[in-house]
Amino acid sequence: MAQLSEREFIDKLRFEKYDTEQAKAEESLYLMECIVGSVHWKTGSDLLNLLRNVGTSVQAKMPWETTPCNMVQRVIKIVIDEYNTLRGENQGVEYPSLSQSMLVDPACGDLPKCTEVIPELQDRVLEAIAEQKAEIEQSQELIAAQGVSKIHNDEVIVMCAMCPLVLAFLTKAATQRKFHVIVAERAPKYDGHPVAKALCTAGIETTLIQDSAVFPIMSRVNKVIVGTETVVTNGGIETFVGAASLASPPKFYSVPLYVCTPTYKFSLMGCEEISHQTTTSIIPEGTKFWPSVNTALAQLDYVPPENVTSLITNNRGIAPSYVYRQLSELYHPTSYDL
Amino acid sequence: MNVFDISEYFLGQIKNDKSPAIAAMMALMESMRRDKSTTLQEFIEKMKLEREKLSKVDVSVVSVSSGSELFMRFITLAHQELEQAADFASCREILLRRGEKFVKNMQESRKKILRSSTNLIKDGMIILTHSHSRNVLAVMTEAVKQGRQFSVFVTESQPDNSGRCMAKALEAVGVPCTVILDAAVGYIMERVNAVMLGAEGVCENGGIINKIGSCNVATLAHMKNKPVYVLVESYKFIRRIPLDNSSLPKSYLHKASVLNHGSDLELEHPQVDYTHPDNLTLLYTDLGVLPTSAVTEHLIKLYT
Repeated sequence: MAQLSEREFIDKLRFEKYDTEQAKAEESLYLMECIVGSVHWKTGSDLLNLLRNVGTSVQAKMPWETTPCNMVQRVIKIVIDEYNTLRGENQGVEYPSLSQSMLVDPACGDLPKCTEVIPELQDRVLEAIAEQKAEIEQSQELIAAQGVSKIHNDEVIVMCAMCPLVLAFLTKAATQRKFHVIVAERAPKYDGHPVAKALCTAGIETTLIQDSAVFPIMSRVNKVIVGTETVVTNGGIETFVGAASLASPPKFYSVPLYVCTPTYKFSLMGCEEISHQTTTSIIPEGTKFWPSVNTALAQLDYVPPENVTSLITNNRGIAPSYVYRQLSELYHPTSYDL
Repeated sequence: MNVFDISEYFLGQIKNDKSPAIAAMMALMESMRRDKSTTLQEFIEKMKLEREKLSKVDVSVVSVSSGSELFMRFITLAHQELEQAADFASCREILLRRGEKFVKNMQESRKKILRSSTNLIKDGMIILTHSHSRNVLAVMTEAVKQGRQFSVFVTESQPDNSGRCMAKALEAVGVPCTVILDAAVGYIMERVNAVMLGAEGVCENGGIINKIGSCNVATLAHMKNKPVYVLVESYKFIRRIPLDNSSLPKSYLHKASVLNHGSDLELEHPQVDYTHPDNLTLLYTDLGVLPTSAVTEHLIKLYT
């Protein structure tokens, strides 16, 4: 593949050339690999500044695209960790201890000064990025492999919206378990229809229902499984429109809600920064509206952490109240303020 | 001979509008500077006595005790420099230096809180706050500087009417605010978008100890699904998990002078109450924005 430049990447993002979040994550890693592999930097600090610039420009031009920003943050952490290991410092503890936390400003947005020139840094960082890439590629399989332990025979499961991860999760489980899936059709996109078709092809007993039938059916359901676009810092999720109304009946009937999400979707966005982007692109051509009618169709919904039972990530399920810990393992505290 | 009275110095700092915990730390620093002990043991004993004297002052005991304990732990933490010190004099120098650095950093903690919490206040918001909190006042001042338009309801907060001081300060900054009765919180809650509180202490399970009446505000807000944001510095984290309001220690609940008076405590009104972490949404601290479940981990890191 030819060298990818930052501008090309942003253009591709803008014109929605990527099908899935996974593709976006892989391309952003590739972009950063190109930056690390280039000769424009000498010290660790130069590299961190280059990476930070990529992150800020993507965030400025497309604030709703969280996956590329997450990957930038992840690479920043990789660079800082590799730098510290090479310099021989003992960085076993993720969080600074008392002496350090009182002297270091974790929320100041100033990345640590990495001013020594270390020749092996480039190779080590490229290796680590390659490992990260492998992790992203395997994330779908790893999540799907957990399906067998989470789903039991004769269960009734509700799912909604086209999500390749959840489909993989269910089809893998169907090889060993026999269960029933109910799919909400999700007007006006009706992407519940291809989902139902895919599940039927996999040999799972499927039922297609209207969105408004979700509440009455919830008392007979054992679990609800959804995918997501982003996981925010307090453990809530930002996902397809309709998820908020899908997530309230399970809370009412005490039905668990599982979210299948790989680690590259964990973002540092706070719940107060969420906006429901609205679009009018779904209205069919030629529809006549009186000028006094306003139409607003949201694209994303926020589900608060109280409604989510567990987030199923690459190797384990975690509770929403544990997300802050996962974030501290993935990202460096000084890069939170990009 | 001029005997240094730590309580007087402490009260002097409080009059300068310093938060009680910072004032306590500065008072301990001053006492350390004037101290004439010759051995480490004597020094530590002396510091213990000074801290006890501070706890007898009629100011928020919760934050003073947590602040001074953290201060002492920080400066006496086993450190390479301390172990290599040849005699007590150089030891003392090191302790003084660390103490000054610590106090300087702690005074910056409000700025760190402001960085993350100013984004909370959006245009057109109606915020409810309880009693007088310096952190909440700072955030609102900053939001006004950034040109946001919002309005505030402040509870009167009996028995000392501190809500009215808060309202006066807010009006001086240019925030439209209304003082409401403590009893009117349930009435006003449906109009409110968010609740912002300060705290005198944060317990290990994420609950907060704050001026009496905070429990009402937070519980009602939670019932009506309004977010409750707490702005608090990390030196107010305390190693205690109260099971409920009746398990709060008497030294927190009543002023020192009342306890010494020997009157029947059953008839005295408590000064603080405990709010359960379930009723709080997020804690904005200088260590970052924490959910209530993260407090215990940070507490362990702070004390080891």
